[in-house]
Amino acid sequence: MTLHDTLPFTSVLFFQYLLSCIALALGIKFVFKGKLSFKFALAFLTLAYIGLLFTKPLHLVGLILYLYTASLSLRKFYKSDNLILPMLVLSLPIFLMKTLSIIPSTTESTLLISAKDIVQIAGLSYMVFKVISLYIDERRSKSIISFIDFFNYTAFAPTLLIGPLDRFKRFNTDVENGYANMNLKMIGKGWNNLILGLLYKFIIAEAIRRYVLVNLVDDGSLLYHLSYMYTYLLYLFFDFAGYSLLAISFGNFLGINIPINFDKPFLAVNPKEFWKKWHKTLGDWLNDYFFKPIFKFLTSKKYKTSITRQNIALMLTFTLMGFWNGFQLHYIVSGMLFGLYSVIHNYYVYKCKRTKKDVVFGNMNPKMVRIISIFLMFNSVAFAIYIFSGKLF
Amino acid sequence: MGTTKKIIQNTLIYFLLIIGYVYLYVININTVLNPSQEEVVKSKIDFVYQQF
Repeated sequence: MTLHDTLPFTSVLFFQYLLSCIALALGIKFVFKGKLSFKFALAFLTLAYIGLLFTKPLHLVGLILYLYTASLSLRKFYKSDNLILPMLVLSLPIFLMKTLSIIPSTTESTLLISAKDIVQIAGLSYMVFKVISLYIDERRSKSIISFIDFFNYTAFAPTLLIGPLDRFKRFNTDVENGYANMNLKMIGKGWNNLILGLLYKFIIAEAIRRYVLVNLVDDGSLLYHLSYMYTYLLYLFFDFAGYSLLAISFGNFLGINIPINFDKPFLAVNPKEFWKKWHKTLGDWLNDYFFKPIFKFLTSKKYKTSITRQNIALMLTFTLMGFWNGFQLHYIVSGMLFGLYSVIHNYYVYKCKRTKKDVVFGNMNPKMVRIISIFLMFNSVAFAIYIFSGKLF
Repeated sequence: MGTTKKIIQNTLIYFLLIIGYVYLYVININTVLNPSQEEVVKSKIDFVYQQF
């Protein structure tokens, strides 16, 4: 438990920091009758976290300044509808970080180590994603986004590390509402999310990790690989969903309605539904800022048929997701596999629409179809996540 | 029915949270069950999700 080494939700110190924030914000609301503007109070608390607890405070501030300057300059000087250049400029830090991370350690020079240290900033990807959505959504807007609004949105401590990915307009509406949002209803909501988040992350995920996952003996058998596959999936779900719930709960306590990230994903019947239930905010982000623009671009070029364009856009989007996770083969293959699932499902829906009948299940009982679909989807996801885990290659 | 379901659900959540906390963080159950066994250093699951 040290200063400058506290990533969100990784130590007791971070929870103490968040509780202090809530107490301070409530104090300002009731004692000082909200005389200090909520957005300034939030910026001060965020800055206190970065300055006192965050691993690389100056690196993070540098990144925020780069992203703010880049997005402001692009809005001012770049008037084209083509989004490739803005995407490249804004995602440059991710590209540098990913490229440097694959250079083998044997070739590391002092310069390379320094370069790696500069770009490896916790939360970098999510911050860049937020700024890309902010730029695309607001680039035609006449109003200039102030630095304080930009700072509050990008560096909001509970969601800094791994989301959920919020949108600027929604986030800023809550910030504008200020202390009025810090009411009993929100506190109750926050409490429920907190309890569930603690149960998921610190009890269930930890128990799975401690008593099952690390005790599996790798004898190379099929049974071992299957056991690892299902255990890892459950561990990942409870850890990540728990983390997201904790982030949402502290957002609620501060009057901010962070969108939900997980909603019973193992009951999804197809890939499309799965991405509405598993890491939903990333799924929505990829849909809005990658799938739709790629599909629109292919349509403008009148490239082949609509179904082919959709499938190409799906494959490219999920492959990109794989590259974002890392340039290692297992991440890329896992992303492509998720893309393949979506393409197969998309083609199945297309065929059903064209023939006006279910081409796979025929006249089977809908309840039975649902059970089989859930089973297939769960196992397909387990396999893709297993590839993602890097256990196979 | 809705309220009953909610009460049962909340009771279960709090029960699991308290039992889990005691089991995982207060008592080290492994040392209670096997006092003579040496502590084995477990491999760390180092990648959970995207941090950078």
